[in-house]
Amino acid sequence: MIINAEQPGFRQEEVKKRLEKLDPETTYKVQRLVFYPYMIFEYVIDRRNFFHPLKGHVGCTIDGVNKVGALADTFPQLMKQEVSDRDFIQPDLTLADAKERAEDFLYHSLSSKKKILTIPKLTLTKQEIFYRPYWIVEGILNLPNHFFITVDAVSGKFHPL
Amino acid sequence: MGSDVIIFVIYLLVLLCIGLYFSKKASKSPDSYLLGDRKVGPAVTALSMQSTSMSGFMFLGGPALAFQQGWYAIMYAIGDAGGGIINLSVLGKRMRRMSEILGALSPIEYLEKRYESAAVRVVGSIIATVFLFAYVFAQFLAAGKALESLTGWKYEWAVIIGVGIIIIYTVAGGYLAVVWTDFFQALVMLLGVLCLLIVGLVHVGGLSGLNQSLSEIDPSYLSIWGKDYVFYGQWGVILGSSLIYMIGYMGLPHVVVRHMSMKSTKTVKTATLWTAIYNQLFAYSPYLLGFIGIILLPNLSDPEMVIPTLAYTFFPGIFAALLLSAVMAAIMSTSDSILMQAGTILSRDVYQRFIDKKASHNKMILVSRLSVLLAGVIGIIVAIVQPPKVFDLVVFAFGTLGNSFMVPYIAAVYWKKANSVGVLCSMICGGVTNILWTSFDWQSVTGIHPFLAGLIISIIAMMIGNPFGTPPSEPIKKVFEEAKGPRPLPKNIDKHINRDISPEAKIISTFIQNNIPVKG
Repeated sequence: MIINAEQPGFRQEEVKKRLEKLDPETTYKVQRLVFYPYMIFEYVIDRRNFFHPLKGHVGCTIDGVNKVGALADTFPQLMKQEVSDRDFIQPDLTLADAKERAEDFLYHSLSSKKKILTIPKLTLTKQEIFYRPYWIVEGILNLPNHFFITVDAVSGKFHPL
Repeated sequence: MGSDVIIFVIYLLVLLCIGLYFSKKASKSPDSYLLGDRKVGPAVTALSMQSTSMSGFMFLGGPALAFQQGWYAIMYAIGDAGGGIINLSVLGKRMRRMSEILGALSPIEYLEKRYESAAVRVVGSIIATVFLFAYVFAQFLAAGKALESLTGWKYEWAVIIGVGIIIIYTVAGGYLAVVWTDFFQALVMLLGVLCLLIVGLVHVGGLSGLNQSLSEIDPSYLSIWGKDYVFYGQWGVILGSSLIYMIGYMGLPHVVVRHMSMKSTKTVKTATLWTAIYNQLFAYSPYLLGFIGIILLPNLSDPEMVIPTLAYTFFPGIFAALLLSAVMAAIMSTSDSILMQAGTILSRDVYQRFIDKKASHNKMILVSRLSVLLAGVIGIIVAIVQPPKVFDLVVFAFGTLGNSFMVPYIAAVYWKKANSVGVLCSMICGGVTNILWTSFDWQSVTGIHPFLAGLIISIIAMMIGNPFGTPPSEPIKKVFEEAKGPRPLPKNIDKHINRDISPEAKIISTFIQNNIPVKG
């Protein structure tokens, strides 16, 4: 299947080096990539208010499985990529559902962060389903003592599995 | 018919309904019948474990000891109060994991698979069958006697009615019926004993009034060395009194099976909390009632009847009515678990292991039901006929089971190199020591409680025997490591974990484990 995917900022070797620098006692084996689904929506915001005008672009990503929203500063650089079924996670919501969630999330964020009471006008300019690559890494202390972590291949953030 | 008997009959009917409700679920597979599909939640695990552990002794023998010895008896309560918590904390998670990985359905089968030895299963089955039967006979006898004295029914009929109900719901509903009736019975026990304790304390002027009156009767009642300081300086006896219940439950197959049936390892944490709350409310109360008996019943001839006599003499009708059900709940909740375990060992560890290895699921469920029925019917006959030789075994039952199985169960998950020779030595020597120590009353000579002696010998035997055995195979070593659970991460990695991506990590983890598309 062909998907829209972000390009890894951290390659296999870089991930291994970074982790082994943090923890020299352990050997790290960077196994493979898993692609995680998100939906991104970009809006133009326009609030003509004499005291508190708001104008510009605002973006929101919705986690395709957990259905949680987050503010997005930039639209990701995406590339078409062919992956097999065992390498990507299918989203659990449609683009329409995600759009509804994104707008709810943005209205809520704007009203609480910008301290405004009236709802600004949001005009959708871009929407996309995309996949972010995550590395699956095995840490081997001394066999059979091992553990797994996942590393966000774009930001380099990691979390145990 | 008195109000107590009416409440008791209603109570029996509730138990029957619970048993019959689970009969369909129990018929699904041997796993369902023998272990409830390993889906028992924390509250039921905790409370059924406690009501199973605490037998009729809590309403009859325990208060009698408190009545005779004063505050020394509280050492047993301390053991009881901590026993469930220690049991869950030490064995809970690891035994749950290992039993599932090994695919063991009975605590004896678990030992065979962990120690890779049919001899362990044979010896384990023999010890467990003999002493579990002895234990269940004692419970049936207690059930009959309690019912006879509290209702006035003829002893034989009391045994047939009381035990008959247990057999019906256990045969029909299997393990799930046992744990759910035990859960219900734990609540009845708690309600019964707390009501009696509150009224009792009001009668003696609270805890301060109780101690004041005890010191006026005999100051030695307030000492931990027993009445007339009979155990003065004997730390082995004092320690053994607490240890027997604090750690002894880890050696009882019908109790440790609760670890194997838990829903998951996460159940342990909440179950421990439930156990802690329940035990602090329940464990001390029967002993405190024994102390109250010293003051309110100075001429009582049978100390075992201290709680029933208090209830019927001093307390309002409703509390006395509750008592019969509470006493029977304590006895029945232990009996059904032992009966279930005896049936499991007969069907799984004897029939399927040595007679018909390829028995189908349906056949195994039928054999399990017949085994429980057979064990129950033999129990009724023995409780009625009371052959003296059989009842000689009863006094050893708890201690022998505890001393035979505790070290093997703990070593199974904490000592990687533990092997079959070490375990056989430990089981046999621990059990035999308890029997000899009790039979020849070596406690009075050595000042060491039989349980403590059995425990020490059992550990020494394991250490001596183990070097002569074959080390565990590589697959078992791997199982041992897996049973330890997830390993902690290296410090520096743990420090830099980014919690922002934890929802994604959870999904990715499920995805790579199942290797199927994940849908939230």
